[in-house]
Amino acid sequence: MSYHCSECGRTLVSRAGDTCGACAMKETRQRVQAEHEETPEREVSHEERCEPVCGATQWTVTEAYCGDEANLVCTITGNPPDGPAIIEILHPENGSVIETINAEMTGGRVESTWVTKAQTENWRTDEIPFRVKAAGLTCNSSNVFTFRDRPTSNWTRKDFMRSCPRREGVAVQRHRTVYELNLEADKVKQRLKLKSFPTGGITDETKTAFETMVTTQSQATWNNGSNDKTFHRRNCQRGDECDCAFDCCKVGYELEINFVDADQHRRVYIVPQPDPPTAQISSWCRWDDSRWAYPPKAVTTYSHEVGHMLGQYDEYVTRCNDPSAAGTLCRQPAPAPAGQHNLMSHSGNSTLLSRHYRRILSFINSKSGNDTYDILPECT
Amino acid sequence: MTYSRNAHNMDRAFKFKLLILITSVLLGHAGCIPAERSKMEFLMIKYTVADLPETPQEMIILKSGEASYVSHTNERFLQRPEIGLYESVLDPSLLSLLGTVFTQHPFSTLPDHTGNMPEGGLSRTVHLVTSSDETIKQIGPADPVESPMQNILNHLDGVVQEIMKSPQQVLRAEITSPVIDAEKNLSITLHLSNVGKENLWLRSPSQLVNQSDGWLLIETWPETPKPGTMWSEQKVNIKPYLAEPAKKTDGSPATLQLLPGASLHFTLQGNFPGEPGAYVARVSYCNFMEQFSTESLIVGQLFTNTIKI
Repeated sequence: MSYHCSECGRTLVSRAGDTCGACAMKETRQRVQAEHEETPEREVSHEERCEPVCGATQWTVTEAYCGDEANLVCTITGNPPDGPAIIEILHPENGSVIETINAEMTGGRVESTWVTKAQTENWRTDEIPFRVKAAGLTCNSSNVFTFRDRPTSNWTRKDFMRSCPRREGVAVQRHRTVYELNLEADKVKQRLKLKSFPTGGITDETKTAFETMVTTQSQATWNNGSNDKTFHRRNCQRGDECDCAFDCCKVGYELEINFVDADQHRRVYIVPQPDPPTAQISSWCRWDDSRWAYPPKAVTTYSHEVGHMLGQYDEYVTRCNDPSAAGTLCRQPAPAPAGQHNLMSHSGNSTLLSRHYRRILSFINSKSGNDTYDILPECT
Repeated sequence: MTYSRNAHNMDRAFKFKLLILITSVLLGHAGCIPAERSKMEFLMIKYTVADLPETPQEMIILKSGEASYVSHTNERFLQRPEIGLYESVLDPSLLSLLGTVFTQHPFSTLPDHTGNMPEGGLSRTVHLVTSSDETIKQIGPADPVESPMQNILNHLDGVVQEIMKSPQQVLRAEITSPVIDAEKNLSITLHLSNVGKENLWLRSPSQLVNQSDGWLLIETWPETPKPGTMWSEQKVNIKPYLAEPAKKTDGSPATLQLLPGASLHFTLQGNFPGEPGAYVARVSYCNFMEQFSTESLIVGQLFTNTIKI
C-alpha cells in the first residue's frame, strides 16, 4: 500500500503522513498542501511522481580577476536522481555557449568552477551568465559574473641612480636615470622627455631631422621589442600558455619620446658627424649629459642610447656593466652570451629581450594591488 | 695560432711568459723580489681602444719586446682596409722609448677619467704592469686629456702602426670594377684576401645580408656635397645581393677558409638610388659571430677602399 506525501501530495511514501523530503520550498509546500486538503489522502497509482524544478542557480563568486576561478551552483528540487549535468557558460553579447563544463548532480545539487576568461574587448563591463542542463531541465543563472578591473595609476616620475660595479679605491660611478611611468587601463606607458642642444654646424633643419629620427627609431625599436613579450597575471589559472586575446590578464607597453623646451628628463647635445669617409663619431650618455652624433654611426645607435636613459646597462664588457650578482633574475650579463646578442650588446642589432623590460614589470607590480605579474617569456 | 681578440688564445710560449710576468708582479707585492730601482721597466702594457665597444682593439706588449695587436675595425685606419691579428717583436730602442714615455710623469699619478666615464663613445684603457705595481687608466671621449697622458696615447698608437707591419691572420677587403647600368643597377666586385701568414676563417659575405649579427652594405655618397645639407646625411646604404659565386644564401657555405695569400671574389649588386652624377662607394663587411663549429672567425667591421662610381 502506498500513500501520497503529506506535503506535496504526489510522491509515494510507505506510510501515511510521511513526507518525501523533496519539497523544500515553502511556497511549494504551501501550494501542494492546499491542493492536498482538497483531495484527501487516498491510494494512488504507482505512476504518479514529484516533478523536479529548478532551484537556486547562481554564481557564488560574482567578481574576480580574469584567469581566476569563479564558483557556481545550481539546485534542482523534486528529488531528481543523481546523474550527469552540463554547465554552459554563455557569451555576454550573443548568448552563445563559450564553454561547456561536464559536472555531476548529487542530491539535486550541481557545483563547479569556471576559469574566467574575457570574451570581448568590453570585458570590463561584460556580464556573463550560465545555465545548467540536468534532470531534463534547463536552469538559468539568476545573477551574472563580472570581471574585476586592474588598478590604474597617475604618472609617476622615476629618478634614480644606476650604479656601476664598485672598484677598490675608486668612487662608485653612477649614471642618472629619469623617466615617467603610468599604468593605464591596458598598458604601461613610459615617457621620456628630452631637450636637444645643437653644437657647431647643426642647423635648425638638422635639429628637427635629428629629433624625428631619435623619436621614430627609438619608439619603434622599444615598442616592437615588446610585441613578443607579455606582462601576465601570475595567478591566471591558464598559466604561461594563456591564449586570452584581450588585455584582461595581460598588460601592454608603449614608449613615448618627446622633445621639449623645458622640464626635460635628459639633455642631448647634437654633434655633427665628420664628412665621409672619415671615421664616424660614436654617441654616448653620462650622468645627466649626452652627446649624440648625427647622422648616427649605426641604425641602432639612438635606440641603444635611449636604452641607457631607460636604465639599461651595456652588455659588452666595460667598467660599467650590471653590478647585480650573478643569478639575479633579469640581470644583464656582459658579454651577452652567444644567441642573446641584442640592442645593448652589438651594433646594428635591434633585438630586445625580456630582461630589458624588468623595470616595467617592477612598476606594474608596485601598482597592481598585490596581484602579481610576470613577464613572458621569462628572463634568461 | 688561432685568431682571437684576447690573450687567452695566444700560443703557449707567449702565454707562459705572460704568466711568469704576472706572477712576478704578485711576488713583488709580497716582497719576495727586490724592488726595482729608479728606472721603470714595464713587464706588460695592454692598450685597448673601443672603436667598436663590443669588440675593442687590443695591443699587448711584453718586456721581451713580443707584441700583438688584434684589430676589429679599420675605421680609424681607412687607408688600410684590413683587420685581424698582427704579431711582432719590437726593436729594443722602441721598447726603451716606451719605458721613457711612461716615466716622464709617474703613470700612476696621471689624471684620467676613471669614475666619470660615459656609456658609449670612443674609450681607451691603458693597463701598465711593472715589477712593483699595476695601474689601469681609462680615457673617455667626454673630457679633456692632459698632455702627458695624450703623449702616452700617441706613442701607443705609433706602436700599433709598427706591429701592423707584421700580419699573422689578417683579412683584407677591396672593391673594384664598379658598373651602373641604365636601370641604375650597381655592380661591384669585392675581393677578400688573406694577407697574413696563417689560415683564417671568415663569415661568407652571402651570410651577412639581412642578419642581426652582422651586415654587408655598399655605402655611397656624392663626391661633392649638395649645398644646404650635411654631407654625411647624403650617404646611402645599399643592401646588396651576391651574383657570384653564391647566388642563393641557402646552400652556400656559411664560413669560408682563406689560406695565406689566397683571395676570394664576389660580385655585389644592388639598386643605386642616387641621382646621376659623381658618386663614391665603399663596402662595409661586418661579422659578430665569433665561432662556427670549431673554427674561430674574423670578427669586426671592415671597410674597403673607396672608389668612384
